[in-house]
Amino acid sequence: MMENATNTSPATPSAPGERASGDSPILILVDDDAPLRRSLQRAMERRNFQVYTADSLKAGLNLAHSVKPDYAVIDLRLEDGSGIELVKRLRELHPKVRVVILTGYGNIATAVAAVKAGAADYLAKPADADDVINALLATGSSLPPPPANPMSADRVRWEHIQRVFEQCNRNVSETARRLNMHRRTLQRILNKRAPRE
Amino acid sequence: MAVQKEQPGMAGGRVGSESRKLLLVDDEVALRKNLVRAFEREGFEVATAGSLKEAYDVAADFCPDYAVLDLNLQDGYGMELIGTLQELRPGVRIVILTGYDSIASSLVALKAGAAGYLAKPVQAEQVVATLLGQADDGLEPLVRPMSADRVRWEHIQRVFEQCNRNVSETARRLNMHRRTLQRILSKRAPRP
Repeated sequence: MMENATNTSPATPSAPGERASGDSPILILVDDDAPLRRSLQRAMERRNFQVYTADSLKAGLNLAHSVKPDYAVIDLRLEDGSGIELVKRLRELHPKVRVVILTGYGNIATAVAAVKAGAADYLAKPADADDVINALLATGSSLPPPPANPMSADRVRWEHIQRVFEQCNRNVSETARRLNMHRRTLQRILNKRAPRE
Repeated sequence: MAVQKEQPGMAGGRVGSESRKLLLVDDEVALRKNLVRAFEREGFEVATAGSLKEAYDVAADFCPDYAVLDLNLQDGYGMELIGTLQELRPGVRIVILTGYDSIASSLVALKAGAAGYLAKPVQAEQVVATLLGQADDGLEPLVRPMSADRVRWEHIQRVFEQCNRNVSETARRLNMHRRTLQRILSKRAPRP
């Protein structure tokens, strides 16, 4: 958790089609979930983004001042504040930056607030790297085109339950409480195999 | 700012000369009555419509400055009205009010120019505050993850919106039966 703003120098042989020059687009990624941050960073670097990461609002604000991002992926719920503040600041500093919110605690009110703050899209976890890329690269004001092969609805539900379960250190009662489910219903779901992707 | 006090209908704290024509489109009669009372108390001049067709007719004559739109109407989808209302009255403040709320459709609404998006059930005061731009900004800390059913619903709704609300196409992408999907879409949103 002690990494603040790490610049990783990715192998970027070529830039995505939309950029004319040979440099790769700069992406800042702010999320306090370290495993998710690392896997998303790797996925984005494979797609030729130059990725800078931060694990808190404060570190994200520092990044916003020290680099000139083309794109940003921001978690809504950071330990030291709301990602929406960072969206506002980023859009002030870099009016062209395209920002996508990625959150495990989504709701309508924050989706509305995020768009008003200048976010281009708002994704609920679980979202895979392709969802994030499509949201970042969508043009105009519409949603990105539908994924060719989206996760099944049951799989998304299952992934969400599993994520909260892990966040609760695999404590069934606590997970049931947070998800507002009956403990036995949850237990039954956890005992089953994962639904197809 | 000169706020006119003690004058009925000016509780929003706005200057009296400002036009406050409001179109309310919802097919629930009881809710409509309740909202009309609340809006009139705030000094709005209210016209109502219970269907999409009626809404188009009323809007053409009334040219509202404000609108509160339900989405799932018997004869169509309320989101369609946004463009027409904006043409009739540039700068119109539109708030979506729906029982079929989803993050995906809130994004679509905001990007189309709506000023707010609220899930039913809602307090009339909150609708008024949102209309007047006086609602809080959603920065309150989120303490709870979404319910499992809600996450599933949001996922389906996003793909549905991405498929331009084409049911067959959405069912195909999600690898679901069309009728199963249709059934899910016809139900109200699960609790957050």
